[in-house]
Amino acid sequence: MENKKPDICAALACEQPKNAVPIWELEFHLWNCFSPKRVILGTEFLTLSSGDQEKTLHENAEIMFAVSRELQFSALTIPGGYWEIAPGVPAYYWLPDEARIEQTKILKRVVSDNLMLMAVTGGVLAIPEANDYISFSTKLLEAPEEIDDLAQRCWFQGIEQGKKFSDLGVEGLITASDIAENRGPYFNPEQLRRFIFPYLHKWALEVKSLGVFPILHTDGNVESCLDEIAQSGISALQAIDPVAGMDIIRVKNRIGDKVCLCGNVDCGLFLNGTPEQIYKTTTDVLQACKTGGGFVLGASNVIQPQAPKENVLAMIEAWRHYGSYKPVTDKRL
Amino acid sequence: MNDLIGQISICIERGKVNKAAPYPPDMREQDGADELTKQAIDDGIDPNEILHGCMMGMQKIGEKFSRNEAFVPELLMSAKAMTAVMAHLKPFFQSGNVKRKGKFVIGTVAGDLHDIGKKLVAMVVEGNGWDVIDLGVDVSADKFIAAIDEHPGCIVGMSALLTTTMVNMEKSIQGIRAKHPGTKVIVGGAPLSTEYANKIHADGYAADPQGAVNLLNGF
Ligand code: B12
Repeated sequence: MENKKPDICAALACEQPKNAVPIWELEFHLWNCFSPKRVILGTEFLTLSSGDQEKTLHENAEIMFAVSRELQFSALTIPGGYWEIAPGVPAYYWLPDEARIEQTKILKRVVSDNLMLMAVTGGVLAIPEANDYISFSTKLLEAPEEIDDLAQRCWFQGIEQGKKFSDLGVEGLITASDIAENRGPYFNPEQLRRFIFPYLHKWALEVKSLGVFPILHTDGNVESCLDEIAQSGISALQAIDPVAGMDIIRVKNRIGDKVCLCGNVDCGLFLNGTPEQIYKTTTDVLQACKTGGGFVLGASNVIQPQAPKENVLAMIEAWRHYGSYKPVTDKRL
Repeated sequence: MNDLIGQISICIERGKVNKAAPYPPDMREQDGADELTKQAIDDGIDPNEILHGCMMGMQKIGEKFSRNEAFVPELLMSAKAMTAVMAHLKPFFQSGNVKRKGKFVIGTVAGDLHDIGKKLVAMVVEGNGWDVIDLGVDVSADKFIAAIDEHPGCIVGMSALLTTTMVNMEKSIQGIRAKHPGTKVIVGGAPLSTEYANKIHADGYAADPQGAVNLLNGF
């Protein structure tokens, strides 16, 4: 079987892969559409007996690997730790801590060296969830020392978690830190300089020292701070949020030689677009970004479970036509 | 304009809540929106004028936000200062001595838990003289309709941040129109556009809170 890891390693190092543009999804929710068996995660996983949990983790790994191969993924993001999209509402893609570790071990054995494993382990502050943003925002202005502490703790925990997962063979660590929204950064420039960029820098250095790729995921419009992002030392920037008007060509021109870009087919289009639209957008993104490498194809954000599988297949189809780096006449992959 | 009113307006624009508040640093130890409003009422200043000062401050920060010169946390601080003013004005609203421009019912639609944008719109609209009823997040069509039943003549605002929940806006609008045909509905949220708003027969779309205020004032 073709080993897809060297291609994504090259891209994340801002080089041109030998074979093709790698494909990687930040968070993929459609495993079950491409498999006769079902991945079981989150709340449903908790209801299983411990024996069944163990069996499920093995099945999950087999399904994820098989689907990743079918869809030509070069990397796979392991399920995240518990997080709530609102008080009491757990996100879909998570496992309890111990199971998450176990899932990673099993996945590593199953995927071996054929795929890169990625994990969201954090490290940098973000727009807070649920109602926390009100007290967080007040503290940003009234008690910035408390935010210093918070940023430090977030960084420390991110590093601790990162070490744990890198020891298990994870090769890409992600801090999912939405620092912006449609208009631009949530934080003012002074706050970015104090609470975000120094920690991003420390985090990137530390992660690199583990021999692992540090990846920043942020939604929103970050055009005004692309230089700081590029200088932080991260290997890759994921999202390049089209909803917020981010133009990946402009980003590529500005920082594409320093940071690998991962994205940015609009995750919303996966939900309400047609396969033709996905094919066209993917083609445009590939043609704009693949030159010289330093580019990983994927959706801008989570491909949610309601997305029709035909749209995912349309992205792969466009990649088959335009994703190759091989200098042959029939470049179809 | 009365000096106190001018100062209240500045406190709102700058997010100075009360004397104890350490923000903004250059206004430390000075009276904030809370103390100044109390003083204005004690001095017998017409509460309508106080509300007007509040509106001016809120409009200024709203416009700055629209021009990308202010950030979300700063706008939230202004809203906090505005809330301090409103607490003093409450008895006058209740007695009918101070009239607001109308009622505005707002919520994030069913299935959607994004709160921040909706909250900012609610706060800026309130600071611009409207009586705002914030229904929170994950609001069903039935809840919107029940709120209109309770507040006849209100204008409705709906927020959606997800492609999967934008469709719930359309459903809610249809439900509202069936029961309360004359009700005006405005919509907003990161993935929305004027085209989408037109498609689902909303009465207006705005990209930011000040835009929402302008829409409401135009009806
Ligand atoms: C912060 C955030 C979150 C936070 C929300 C925190 C909170 N307390 O609200 C959390 C982490 C919980 C979250 C969760 C999810 N999110 Co989210 N999130 C964002 C993010 C980064 C910023 C949104 C925000 O708060 N902006 C700040 C405010 C000030 O801006 P705003 O909401 O746009 O509102 C302004 C205007 O739109 C307007 N407005 C807003 N409402 C209204 C209403 C009216 C009437 C008017 C006139 C105007 C108006 O005025 C506001 C002020 O200027 C956006 C990225 C983006 N580009 O916006 C993604 C984004 C919205 N999220 C997205 C996704 C996919 C999700 C999840 C599904 C992810 C997941 N893995 O589960 C979940 C869904 C949860 C759910 N069921 O709701 C996608 C949606 C894509 C799509 N097309 O569907 C986005 C666009 C990210 C992306 N790049 O794709 N998210």
